[in-house]
Amino acid sequence: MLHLYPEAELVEGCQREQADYQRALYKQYYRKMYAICLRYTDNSDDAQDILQEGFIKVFKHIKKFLSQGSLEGWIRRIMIHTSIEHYRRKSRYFMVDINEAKGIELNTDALSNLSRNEILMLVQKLPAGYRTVFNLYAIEGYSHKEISLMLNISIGTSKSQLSRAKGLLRSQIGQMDLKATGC
Amino acid sequence: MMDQKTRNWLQKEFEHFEAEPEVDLWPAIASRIQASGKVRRKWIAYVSLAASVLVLFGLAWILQTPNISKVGNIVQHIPAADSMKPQQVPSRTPASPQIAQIEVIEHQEVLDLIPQNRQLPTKHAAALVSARAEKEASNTEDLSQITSAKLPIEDAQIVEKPSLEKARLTNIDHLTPSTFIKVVAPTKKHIATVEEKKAKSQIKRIGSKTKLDLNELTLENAIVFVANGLNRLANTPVSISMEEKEGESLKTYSFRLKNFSITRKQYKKIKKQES
Repeated sequence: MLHLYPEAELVEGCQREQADYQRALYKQYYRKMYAICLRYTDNSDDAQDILQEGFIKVFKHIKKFLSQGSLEGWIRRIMIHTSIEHYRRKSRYFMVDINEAKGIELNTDALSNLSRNEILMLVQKLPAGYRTVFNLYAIEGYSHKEISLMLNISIGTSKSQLSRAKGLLRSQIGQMDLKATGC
Repeated sequence: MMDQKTRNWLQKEFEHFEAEPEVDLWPAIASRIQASGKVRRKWIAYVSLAASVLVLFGLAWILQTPNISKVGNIVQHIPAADSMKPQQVPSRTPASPQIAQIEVIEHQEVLDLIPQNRQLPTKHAAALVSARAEKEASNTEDLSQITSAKLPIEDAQIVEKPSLEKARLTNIDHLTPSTFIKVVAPTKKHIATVEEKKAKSQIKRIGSKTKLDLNELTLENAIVFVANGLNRLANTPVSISMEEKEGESLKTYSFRLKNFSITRKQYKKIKKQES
């Protein structure tokens, strides 16, 4: 039975490197963080690697956590950055600089018919660069300026990556609709 | 571009999205954390150990007192008289408290500075005979102990031993008699120059030259003489209060060092200057 500690106590315990608190923190957040990792990867193995690396970073740097923001937000940011680093290491051409941004729209109506797992599956099928920008912009809520700083790319590249991601998602949703209707 | 409504919908949809990994990752994470902790602790232990060793070596190096047995021609061993009972001088002579303190611990008349088998020059022999005659006239002393008198003995000596290390490290109460500094006699050459000067300037000059005239061998002179010797070593002024005693012709003043310290750097500098 997992004991739920108050956040402050959990942080203090982890800062003292007490195994019980570390385990409790992991158990409290690992599902949410794994879901984030899945969005930034195209397979569960990579997601698990990122989750593991991310939590090791969390425990390593938790002494720097000042309790000014939420612990979950702080862990989430670590996971996102770990995901980005993971794909930077993995792919030399993680982000291709494309300056043309086409105005492709992705409507809520098109997405609302899909379950979360279906959306996740579609996002995972995107190329790494598109997927990352889409996740950062559409789901995490970062601006293109913030994304450009995080990924060390231009704002235009961020916009174009997002645009292409939406285009791919639309075509994938269309294919799914076609399959569903049996045409 | 993606409209804000779609963005909000996606954010809301994935806000509480959770998924379960296929395997339990905690054992791997825990072992990695423990391993990194062990490495860090091990590293800290090694660094601490290395720092401790460095500190110990540093302390040993600082505390290592140089051997001053070769402090130039002013230091030479002469056996002190063992036939006379030392007379305690009550005065203490506080000096510069940070660096050196000289304490007069013994005021001793020395009448056998010249060994028995040494052939004395004629004038010295005459002086010795004269001294013996004086003592005989007073008829109160054991004549066998009178072997020399007011004589210009050839070399100036500070008898010093052992190293200053003990003097610095130990309390004065724990010092052995061998840590005494004894001012015994001046050089012949020095006597000639000293005699031309007045008493105060003699003291000053004696101090600067680190030579001492046996004829001027007062407690004051002796202290200045020793203090100057220490100053040359410590490169630091030593102020001394003194008590002068009149009367006797040949005297030995014994001193010992108290809280005296000298760094290796200072010592090397002095030695370099001397050479």
